Amino acid sequence: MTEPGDGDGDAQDRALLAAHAAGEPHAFDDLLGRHRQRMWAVAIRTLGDPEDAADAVQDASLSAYRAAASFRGDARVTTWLHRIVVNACLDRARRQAVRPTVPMPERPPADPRDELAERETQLVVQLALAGLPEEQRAAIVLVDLTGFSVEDAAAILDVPPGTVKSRCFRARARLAVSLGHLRNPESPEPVPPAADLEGGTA
Amino acid sequence: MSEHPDDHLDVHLDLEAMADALAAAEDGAALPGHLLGCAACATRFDALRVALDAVASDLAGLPAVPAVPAGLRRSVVPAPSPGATTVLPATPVASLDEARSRRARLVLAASGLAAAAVLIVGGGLLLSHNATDTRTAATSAASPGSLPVHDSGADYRSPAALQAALPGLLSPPATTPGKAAATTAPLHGVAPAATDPLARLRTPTGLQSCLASLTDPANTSAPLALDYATYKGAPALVVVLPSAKPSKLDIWVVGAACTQLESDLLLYVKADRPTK
Repeated sequence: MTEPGDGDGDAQDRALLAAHAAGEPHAFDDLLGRHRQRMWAVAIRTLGDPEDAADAVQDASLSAYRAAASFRGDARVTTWLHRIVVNACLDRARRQAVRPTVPMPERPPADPRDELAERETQLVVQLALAGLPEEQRAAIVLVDLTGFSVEDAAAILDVPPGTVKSRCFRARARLAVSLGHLRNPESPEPVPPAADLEGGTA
Repeated sequence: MSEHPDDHLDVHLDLEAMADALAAAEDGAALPGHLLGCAACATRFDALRVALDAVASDLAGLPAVPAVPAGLRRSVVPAPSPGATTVLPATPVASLDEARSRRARLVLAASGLAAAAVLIVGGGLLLSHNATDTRTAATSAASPGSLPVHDSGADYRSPAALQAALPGLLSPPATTPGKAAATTAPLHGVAPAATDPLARLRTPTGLQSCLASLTDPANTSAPLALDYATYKGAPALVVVLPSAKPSKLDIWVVGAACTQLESDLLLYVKADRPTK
């Protein structure tokens, strides 16, 4: 199955963008339909809160619609779309406090106590993700949580692949501390606060 | 406590330096020399390496991404204003599922049409459709052997003109002597004329390459009609495909330069399926 955004998928995306530019009224919705699931996944993983994520995807969709005519084709359409989504998420995260939530399960748990413990763990992970510097959060969401390759994430974030890899490892290391997996009493230095650990070197 | 044999090793590695070292090591780079001489940092580095596995486990344990909210499936395209020119009847906004379903159909169209093209060139348009078609499920459902392939030479000037022509396009081409027989000749194994701008699109490989730009290789349905024609004076191939809604059809109009890399798209419209 061809995924939107790969070689053949990008040709289809470009055909739909061309159709949109030519005035076909459904082409842009069709284009979004091909990518909406992953756009949503990036947003919900980045922001945690479903309402914020939905607003971010909606903002991004409208931004893409307005900018479609100026798309120059120097990137794949999926890269262009997800770059807009990431920026919309980060803008939203900057404007307001993130409220991580964990969706309710669709089926009742076998053991409510286990379920409660699991949901607590998930909430802790969401909070830890929300506490990452935004560049690190964007990188780890794309690579670890939504399955983009380092190269694709680099294209979306418009940075070199080495920077994405560095940001991912720094994010994982920070999560290791915040999730309690890294407690070294002989640590020569306390882990600095988030603001002092900005990642991003190539 | 650690001991550092060299002065430059006095500064311990912090968390981000260790993370960068791990990232570099993944690409085959050597670990920082400090780790060889500082027991404390080496211990912490090993602990970080182990901790990252636990982090990966935690991330994998996050709940699945919830379904896309219904509100996000609504169109972002503004409705046309009352005075705006509308060339085709307005259709309801395609939902996410509908769009996905339609794309899946387009996927199938590539293989189905390619198979049809092989049949066409190999032995005639209305040749038995069970001879060489190996994509049985998809293509037999759409009977590619009876796929209407027209060579109308018509000059479509608007989507409305295509809509009007749909009943004829979906019917078998005329078999009476004259224009139909003459214009379909290249489809019956005769080499396309060099002066025919659509000659490449009459060959199986050219047609398949072009359709690959419109469709997805894993498609499960077949096209409904082809017409070698012109659109606003430009040589064009009209491809009619099923739409997700039974009452609709997708019409793709591509130019002579259509290849797998570039569709040379002239028009894409969703049209009403003609009533019988």
